[in-house]
Amino acid sequence: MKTKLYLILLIVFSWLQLTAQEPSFRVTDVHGMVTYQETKLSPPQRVWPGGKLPVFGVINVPEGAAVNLLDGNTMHRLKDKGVYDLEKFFNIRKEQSLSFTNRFWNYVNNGLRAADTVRDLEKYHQNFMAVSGGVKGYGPGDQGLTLLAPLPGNIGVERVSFRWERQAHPGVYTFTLIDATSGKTVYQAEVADSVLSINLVQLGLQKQQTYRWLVAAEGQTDLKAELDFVFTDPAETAVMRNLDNLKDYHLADGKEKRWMKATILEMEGYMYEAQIAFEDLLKDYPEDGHIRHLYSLFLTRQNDVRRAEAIWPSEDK
Amino acid sequence: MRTFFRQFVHWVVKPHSILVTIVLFLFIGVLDMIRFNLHFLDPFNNGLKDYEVTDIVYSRLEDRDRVDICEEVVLVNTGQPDRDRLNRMLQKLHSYRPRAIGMDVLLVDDMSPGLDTQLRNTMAAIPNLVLATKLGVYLPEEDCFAVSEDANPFFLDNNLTGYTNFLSADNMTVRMFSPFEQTVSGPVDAFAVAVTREANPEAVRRLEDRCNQVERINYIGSDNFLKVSAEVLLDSSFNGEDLFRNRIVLMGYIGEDSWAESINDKLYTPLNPRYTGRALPDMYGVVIHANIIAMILSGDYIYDFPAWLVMLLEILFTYVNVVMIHWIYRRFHVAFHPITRAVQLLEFSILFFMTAYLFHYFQVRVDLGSGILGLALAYDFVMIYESLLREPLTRLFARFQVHLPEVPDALEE
Repeated sequence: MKTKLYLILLIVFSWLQLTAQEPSFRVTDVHGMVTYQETKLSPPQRVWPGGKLPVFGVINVPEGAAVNLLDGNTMHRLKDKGVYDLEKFFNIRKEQSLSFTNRFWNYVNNGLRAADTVRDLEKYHQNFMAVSGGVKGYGPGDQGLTLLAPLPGNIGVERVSFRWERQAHPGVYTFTLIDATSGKTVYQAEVADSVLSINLVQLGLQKQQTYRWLVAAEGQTDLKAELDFVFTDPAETAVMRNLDNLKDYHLADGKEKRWMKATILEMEGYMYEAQIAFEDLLKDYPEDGHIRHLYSLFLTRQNDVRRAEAIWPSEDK
Repeated sequence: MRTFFRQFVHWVVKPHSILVTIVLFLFIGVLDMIRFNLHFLDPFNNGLKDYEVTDIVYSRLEDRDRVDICEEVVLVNTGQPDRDRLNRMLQKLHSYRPRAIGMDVLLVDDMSPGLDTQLRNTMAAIPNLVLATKLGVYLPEEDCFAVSEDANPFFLDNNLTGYTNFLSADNMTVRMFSPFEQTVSGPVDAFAVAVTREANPEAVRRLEDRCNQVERINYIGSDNFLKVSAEVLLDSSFNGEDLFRNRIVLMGYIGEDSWAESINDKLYTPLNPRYTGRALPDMYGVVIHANIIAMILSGDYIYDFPAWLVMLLEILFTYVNVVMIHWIYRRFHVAFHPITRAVQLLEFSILFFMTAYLFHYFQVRVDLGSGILGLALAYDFVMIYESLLREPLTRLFARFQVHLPEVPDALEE
């Protein structure tokens, strides 16, 4: 009898051991040469889609690569370059999942608490900066001077109007344009105004090169600011290709087409062109709440909440 | 028993409320007709028209943090491939013995004779390959579709095909698909149905048994499928035996790479975070096909309440509200407005919750659009009726010897 019992227990134990699954991550999508290392000394193994990774070890995501890891029902998207310790991700739920009733209640509750307010704009900004890691990182008013345009990003046009806020200093400013890679000054001027229009091609700026523009108030050393931009090919080709593929674009009216183009310009990284497009729209439709919303959100994404709040439709404030 | 019945009839049958309900539904009917006609003229309304309450369930009330992988379907991102690359991809996929391969790439033009022939030969050697095609124009006289001019017989002949058309205008949300259609050359399956038929004919038989001309798509999402890029598939060190064997493989465009959010071949779905108005499209066509296949395989279909039952519920619901508002009007004349508005808000929330709950947990879709409109308008119609219509109608009925009660709730008091 005892032997039989031992035998049954042994079978059950072996079955449990066989069926017990090792905790692991499931790789659902990989882009680029992502590698896994069990220990620092072990050779890196390429990560393939559909594969499983143990919950220990590190995963190396190079520049431009990305990987989706599934832990149970929770997806972890590793898009940024870096070496990730897998143990830190295991069994971590991003947020405690709410029940359907709670999600419903939250939805109704949020709807009742006027959805579009300046407070929401601030929250949007916080969320956006948290998600993007604050990569834009240029708070207006850094070092006491606010630069208005061009915002950081690509510039594909030849003539650019550099603008900054004047109220802090009524005197003369020194405008400097430098090559961000070499640190060489490309252009320098003293400006009594707060706007300076320059033809970048005539200055001999190189395509795909990063430049930095600095503005400093003369006589006030603490009043200065700087921003980077990349001088690129014109945005038109890439943007129009995207717009042509957007089925809605062909059905849209003139105004809709203009804000769609502005949105695509932003998506493609042409912040200056996008900003000009939004500003022109606002000039033509100063009372249009939707345009004001869109431009406010655009400015918020560029970390310029103060200007966004000023543009945000007044009835929602 | 007779007394109870009389009391019941007295409580339920209110002639004035019945009249208000009839007038209200006539108004809604007229409003619907006008709205229907105006939409043709007013593109602005496309955004509003193209919206259902259940979209909120998908876009806001579903738990988007939870990902349930569909193990049966693997997506292969072709990017924008040339014929040679497609040929190599097909050969490699076939070597892994998947249950079925669906290729959502339209091969319209002849490119290079040598490469085209190679590709056609590879296709001919894969018996479980389904190619994408499109339906031609609808021929009303014959009640069927023409063969699309885009169909290239060089590739399509001797291969299984399925049409990729969805039931939606180009700028509208894809909520439904038509599983089977008739063309001049005979019956054809939708692309997703044709692929599923190759992999699991029993699941398609269950779909056929439902006898629905159109089916709503029960979306599970974009991230719920394993994805493989063309570069990975063609990498000599990649072994996809475990990944592809006995699975359904869908080849198609999911962006140049799935991380760059390109908008080529993307469509709107109810999962779009902006469920009203214009937004950027959110799901690639091939991923929508994958969602349909997952639904057919799992049998998790969406069930619509029959139209007659919905109509009956809407009329009953509106009638009950009219009776109640009438009663509040008589009993609480001074506080009529705030009480009615509070009750309407409460009812609307409960109705919305129930609609969302039924859809979320039971995939049952109840569209009580007219009922909600009736609820919103009931208050105003009771007011209009009491101040303008009640007396003339009472006089009109009196002419035909029909006497409406002067004070409908007198007996209760």
